[in-house]
Amino acid sequence: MKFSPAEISYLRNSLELPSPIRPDGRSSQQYRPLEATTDFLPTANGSARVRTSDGGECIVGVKARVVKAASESSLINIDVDIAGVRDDSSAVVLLSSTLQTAIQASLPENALKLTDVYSFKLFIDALVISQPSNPFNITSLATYLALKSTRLPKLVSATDDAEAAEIPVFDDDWDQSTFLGQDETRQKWSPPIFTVMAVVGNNLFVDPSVEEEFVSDAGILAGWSADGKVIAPIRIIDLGGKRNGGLKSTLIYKAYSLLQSTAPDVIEALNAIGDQDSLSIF
Amino acid sequence: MNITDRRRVLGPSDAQPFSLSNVVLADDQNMADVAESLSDDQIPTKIYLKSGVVNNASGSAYYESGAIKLIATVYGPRPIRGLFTTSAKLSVETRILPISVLSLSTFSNLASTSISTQTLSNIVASKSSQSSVLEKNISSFINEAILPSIFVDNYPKSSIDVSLTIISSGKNSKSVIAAATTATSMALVDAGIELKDVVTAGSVLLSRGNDNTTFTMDPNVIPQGDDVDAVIAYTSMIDDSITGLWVEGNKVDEDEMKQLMDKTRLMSRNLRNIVNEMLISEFQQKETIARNLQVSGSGGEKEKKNNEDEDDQMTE
Repeated sequence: MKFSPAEISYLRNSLELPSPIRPDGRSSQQYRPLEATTDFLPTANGSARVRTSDGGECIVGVKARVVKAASESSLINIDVDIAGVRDDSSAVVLLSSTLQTAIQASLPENALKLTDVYSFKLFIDALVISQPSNPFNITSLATYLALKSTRLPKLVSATDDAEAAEIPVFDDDWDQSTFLGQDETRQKWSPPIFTVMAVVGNNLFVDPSVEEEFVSDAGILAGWSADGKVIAPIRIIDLGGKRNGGLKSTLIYKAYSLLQSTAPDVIEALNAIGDQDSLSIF
Repeated sequence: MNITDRRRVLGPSDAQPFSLSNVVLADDQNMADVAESLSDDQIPTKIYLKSGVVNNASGSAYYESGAIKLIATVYGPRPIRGLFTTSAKLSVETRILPISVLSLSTFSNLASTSISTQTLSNIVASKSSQSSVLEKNISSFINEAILPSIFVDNYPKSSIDVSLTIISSGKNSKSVIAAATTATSMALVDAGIELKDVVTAGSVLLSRGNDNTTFTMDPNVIPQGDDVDAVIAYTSMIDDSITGLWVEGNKVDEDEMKQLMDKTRLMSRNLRNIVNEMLISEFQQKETIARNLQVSGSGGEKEKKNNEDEDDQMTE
């Protein structure tokens, strides 16, 4: 999108103020309103669809397949497809590699293990249908919801196949299935979420809109784990604005406190969406 | 002979065929003038930096430190076709030569449980002809770290292309990236592109042992388990601000982040001192060459050659 010099100067000045004014009137830690559905793909183990008020839309499907664990380099495969962007572009690679690293690190060790030989492999396919602003936020939120709604069938065959080979057999009853990463106490696992923050002067803004991205100095990408910690990958990314110089180190600390104040609310809101949907289905 | 062979790209007329008997092994004597610095009380790292190593590029730099060997070449600013742009476009392409990936992949067999997914996907992708995830991530990091240092507005409708070749690397990818950032910035200086500052970067590995955290700068140590691996780029001279940041690992709290930044800032400052010394000595050499050319006319050509031979020095 192109902006006139007058528009740029107006946006930049109002965002640089000590108490900044965002073009859509949000506070600096506020996400845009979004609409989400989970578990809407009948053929996937888990799925989610997220739409934002600016017309962004992302659908994520999670499928599990039984594999021999020894022959797989990774038990999680993330494929991100952004409409109109080449698959080997840096945005797509950054998105998929960041999510892959973080999800892999946060998933409980034995969450996908079936037997000594067999294991589930998760295929997470994210499709960003439209993305006026940076696709990172919307994809991360949709992936969170999809993983939260992912259910794996219950194994009925023996788990010990170290000596005698045995092909895993599952319970036909889908009501017996368990949520991904669910432990003995039926506590659900929560994947991490990632937030892009736009830097304008000394201010930071979560979930920047196109206008804010255009006048930003840079973007800071950081993750938030369900137990309330900032997690890596943390990166400075390009949001398409003019890079007029580096960032002060205080901005990195500011990003920490901004995440602290916004991420728990976002996770709470997302969990509410997930619970609602599972209630309506059953 | 009048008929020239136009179908093949022939090498230069004075090319010599490669044979192992031509290879002269580098011994420590040749590296005598290599500076020993950047130690930060732990590992003395020798750094060898030289710019202008590629003749047909606008600018280039060679960086060597331990196992890390890489070349950054800059082409441009050159005109772009199509739409008018008010500022220069920077594009970075990274290539990791198979020999350096090999050292990563052999290592992954030894420590398959603790290898990072980044490294793994890099190895998987290196088998295909497409550039790997790691290469893409390095390219985008260098792009983000270098771009703020260039006066892009001075080069409308042009592009600056950086091509980075990682000839050899240690096991830690972040230390390679830090070296690559510095080398790229040096190559831009060599190309005569207007810069606000030279970007230098530092990399550090934070390992969480039994309730005490340690910091390692060794380019041969890879992150294990919950370790945090970081590379941060700075414009050290003007304002010490951060132009590029990439932290990998799991949880990083604010204190650890502060320590990571302190360590890398110190490293990039030290590196900046070396770069400064090197730039000054190269300028002095260029001046001498120019003066000799003025004084002795064609005789300066010979002088230039001699100077280039002596060029291989490094300063502390």
